Amino acid sequence: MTIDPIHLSLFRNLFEAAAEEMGITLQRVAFSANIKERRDFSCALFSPVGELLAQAAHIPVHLGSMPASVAAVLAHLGSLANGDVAIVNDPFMGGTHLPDITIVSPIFYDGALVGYAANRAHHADVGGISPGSMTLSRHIDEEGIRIEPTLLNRQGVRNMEALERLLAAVRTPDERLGDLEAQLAANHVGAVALRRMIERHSAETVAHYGRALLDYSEQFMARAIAAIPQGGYAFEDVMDDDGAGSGPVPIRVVIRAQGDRVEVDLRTSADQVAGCINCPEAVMRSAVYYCFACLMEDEVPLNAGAFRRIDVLTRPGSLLHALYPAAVVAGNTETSQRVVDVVFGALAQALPELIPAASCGTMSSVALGWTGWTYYETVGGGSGAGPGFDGASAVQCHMTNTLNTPAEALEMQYPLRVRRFERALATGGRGANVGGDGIVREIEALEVCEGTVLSDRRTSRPYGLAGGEAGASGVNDVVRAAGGTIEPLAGKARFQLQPGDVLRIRSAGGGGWGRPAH
Amino acid sequence: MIGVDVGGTFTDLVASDGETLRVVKVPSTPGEFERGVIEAVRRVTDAASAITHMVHGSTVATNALLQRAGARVALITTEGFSDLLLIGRQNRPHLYALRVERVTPITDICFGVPERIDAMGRVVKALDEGAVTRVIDQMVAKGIRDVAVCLLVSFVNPEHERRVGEMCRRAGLTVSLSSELMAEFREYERASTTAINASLRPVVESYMQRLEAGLGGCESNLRVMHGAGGTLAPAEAGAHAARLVLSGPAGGILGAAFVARAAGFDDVITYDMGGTSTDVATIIGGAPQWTTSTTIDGLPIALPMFDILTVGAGGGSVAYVDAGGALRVGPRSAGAMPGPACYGRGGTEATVTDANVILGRILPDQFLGGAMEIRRDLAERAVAELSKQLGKSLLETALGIITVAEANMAGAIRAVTSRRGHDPRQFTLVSFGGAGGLHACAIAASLDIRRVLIPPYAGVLSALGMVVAPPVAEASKTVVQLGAELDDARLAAEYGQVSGRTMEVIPYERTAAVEAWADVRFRGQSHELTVRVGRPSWEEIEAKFVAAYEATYGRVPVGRAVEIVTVRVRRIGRGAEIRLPVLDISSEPAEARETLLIATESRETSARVFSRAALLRDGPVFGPLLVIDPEATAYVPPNWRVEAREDGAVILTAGEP
Repeated sequence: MTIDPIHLSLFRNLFEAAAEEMGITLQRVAFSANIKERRDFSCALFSPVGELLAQAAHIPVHLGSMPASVAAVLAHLGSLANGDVAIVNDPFMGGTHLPDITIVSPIFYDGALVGYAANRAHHADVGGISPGSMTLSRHIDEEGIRIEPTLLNRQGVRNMEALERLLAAVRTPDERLGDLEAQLAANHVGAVALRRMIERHSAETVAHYGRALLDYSEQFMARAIAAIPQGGYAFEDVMDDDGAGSGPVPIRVVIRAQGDRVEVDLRTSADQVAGCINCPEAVMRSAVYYCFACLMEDEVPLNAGAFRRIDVLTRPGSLLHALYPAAVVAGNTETSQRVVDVVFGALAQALPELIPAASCGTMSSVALGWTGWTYYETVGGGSGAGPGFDGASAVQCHMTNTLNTPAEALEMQYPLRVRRFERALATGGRGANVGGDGIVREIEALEVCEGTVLSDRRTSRPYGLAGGEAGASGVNDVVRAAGGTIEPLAGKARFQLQPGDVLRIRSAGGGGWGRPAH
Repeated sequence: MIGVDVGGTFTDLVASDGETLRVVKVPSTPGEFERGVIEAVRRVTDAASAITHMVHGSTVATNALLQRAGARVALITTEGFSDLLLIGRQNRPHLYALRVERVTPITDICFGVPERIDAMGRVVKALDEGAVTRVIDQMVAKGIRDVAVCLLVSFVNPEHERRVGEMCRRAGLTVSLSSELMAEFREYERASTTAINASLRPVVESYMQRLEAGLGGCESNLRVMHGAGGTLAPAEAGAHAARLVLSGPAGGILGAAFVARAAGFDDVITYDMGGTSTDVATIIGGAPQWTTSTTIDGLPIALPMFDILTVGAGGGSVAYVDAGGALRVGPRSAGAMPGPACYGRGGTEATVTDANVILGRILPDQFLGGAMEIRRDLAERAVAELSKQLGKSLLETALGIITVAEANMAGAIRAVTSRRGHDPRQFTLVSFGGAGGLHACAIAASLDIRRVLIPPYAGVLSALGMVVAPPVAEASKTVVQLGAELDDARLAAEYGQVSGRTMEVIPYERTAAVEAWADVRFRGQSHELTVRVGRPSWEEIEAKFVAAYEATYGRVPVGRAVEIVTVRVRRIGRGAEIRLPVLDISSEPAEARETLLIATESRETSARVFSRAALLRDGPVFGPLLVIDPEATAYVPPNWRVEAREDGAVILTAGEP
């Protein structure tokens, strides 16, 4: 079969629309604010051999890791049968961190396997030692229930043993079940969409154009990579600390560009650490892919073909390729941001007219909770300034794009009060173009609760470029109701709040670009 | 009875005395849109006093918003939230962009004042009136005259907001209060709506004054259509300026609903395809569907408005071959200037319209009733460029452009219907707008829709909708924070209070119907379904919600508590009784003209060209054929059956011989 440019365009739209439709369903049917208000999820379609065909643009950190989860499911369970549904969240089998649960459903047409629908959603709690499952852990088992690829449904029959094991391990089983049902519904919608395509165009044609779209995206990426002048570019930055008392933790990259291929070598980065900032391989891969996706001129389907020209080298047992039983919960939210910073830092040497300074470099995750409730959110920051533009203030940067929970929604649901949610003035780096300002968010506890904050760039600063200054680092503290004392918190900290205590999070500003005028 | 719709290009008027309709189209007069309206009105009546009733839809508010040409406003909010409009929901619009660019907020002048009300509506920090006074002084010093006030949790307890409003008014400022516009939660969306309202208010007020002066003495008969299809008195239009956004499109949807209902179709997808974009909306059981999550140019307006999805695809959408070798169409448009290549205004890029000309589906001598010259040679030159790149023939390329454009639009329609849980196959597609009829059948086919209706008066459908629409008034209140206090008695009281507010617009004696609605969710969810309820009781609301949930999402979770989040009342007034006049077939030529066109696979076929009247006389007939109007052309593919109704509606049905 040849490739027709008109069909290529049609199938591009059809695959993308199918993934979008899955996302619409998931958001609407889910129960937790985290999925519905904050949209912390991704949806995708895969070929029968597990190649990513289309992914709806939701959360970049899922970009390289969804395919890894599907691959792990197929490796572990073999090709799925009609009516099977697999569940996985194991960070060492394609997962990101335990709260991100992936559901994989095979799609059959006329008795033949024609593809897979998969989606991943961040569940507000999966057990572990802290409410919200965002924790200062030193071992993966402290972070919650770890699910290796398992059948949740076997040929249409619910695997009650697996489901009960999961629900028994979490703090809010009712909400989890509702969200899991929503994930199944989303995959169902993806399957219906793929079958509709096959009914109209035949299974052969759909498979043919599925493959053609991989080559199609590859061409765009090849052009983007070819624009990088040939050579090697090295960059190094640090994570403040690992949350278990040691740091700074260096992350190093060497990017070697040759023609329309590129090698991203992260092998000289630090060893796996005791704290929870270790990155599963899939998370690191997502961060690298994200950077190159930003280089493409057009909006192009981000499928398996788009990343064929990128060779990523890592060292198993290192910070960016963590092995069991590493604690990984903040690898996904924090370390992934630094991987982006080093890749862009290196690319800025090759493409100085294109690449912006560092953004806030942290997701500043906050989890609060007590018996019966858990609340989770991430706080944006300043984005980096670049050639020809200032950074944006108080916005989600790079590896995440979740929405905030409105104060009015939050206060109706939890014994919390938002005291302040504003731009952190003058925290953006100075420069000819100034970096964006970070955010100040203050949350008052109305009842006793415990909490965890996982943040970085509290001692290090987002770098500036071309003579621009670094953005200001962030600050976390608690203002105690009793006596009004201000108690500083580390970047990664666990704490208790009494009624009236106020948790204050200030995220980092973005780096400036170009020498500031005097 | 007169309906006048002001669009960017034309001002349309439809006048009815119940039996006959008169139609007037005059050029719009941007900058002073009222001049076009007055001109159109003069054509049908000598004296303003002869106007018994006039409904007006205007693009004034929409234009001012899109061009950010409203007044410079300030926002007053709760201390600690002064960057509410800047931060929005904290997300960025494009995921993979090196440069983070967000929508420009409606204003960057924002003040926080010390005060706080908790989620239950209790004052936990008193309003610092001294601080309010200082803020007012600063605003006055900056020359600001319009202010939006949105304090946290004012949807439960508006006390502080009202006090701030009072103080501002006393200082001579014009005030929009969030709790008066929409008593609903989510502070960013409410603040955005309030700021937009404040900014559009002077624009709308001055327009209404000029219009009334120009019309001379018919103020009491003039109503302005808002985005949910209801109308406002001129004097209250300013205070609700944000509601006038989408005023014109709302008229079009009402017109489509009216025409479809006359033909016996109550479940409808409207599809209004113009030069640069296409608007899609749904009508169920004769009622246009509405939403409170409209976004215009990236800015939320959380007021009830018809749920209109705008797709960046139209007749002017540009076709190109991308770097991966795929033929793409849009979203970039050649717009009105230079427009498609065939307009001969200097455009050289191939557009959807150019492809239609090449395929013989637009007749160059009949375009817009022959009022505009179409250059087939220029269309061919533009498409030939693309066919060289693709290695395809001219006709294959033109067919390809049409196919891709139609697929884009079909995908968008599927998204808007499935998002609402509807199955498009059960609908009739009502197609209007200059380019709609050329693609309606193909789009319907790809959605498994079997019937297409092309309304009469398609060129002035918005104005027609304004004539036929009954007045509607809406009010709402968020009640979820009441928790256990919200028993059946309290629920009835809340509905009573909200209903009372709608009576300020439509008095009891002019009321035709009152609808109670509720936004409902399962506890723990954060999005609601809006359901129509009969008697406002928990039992009734839960039953309606569960049924709607199942219809929308397929499965209903068991054992979950239901929450009523917002109560809404829609009061519908008495509308005009209008019947569409019967087509005159006496002056039609006996024989339909023949033309050659390309239906499929690049082969020319002979096809007849019908007017609506000729179709009424000769139908039903089968495609391929063209139905030509002064405003637009419809292309009927092979295997589609087409007939006209006496009122001029053209009905196309798929899949017969």
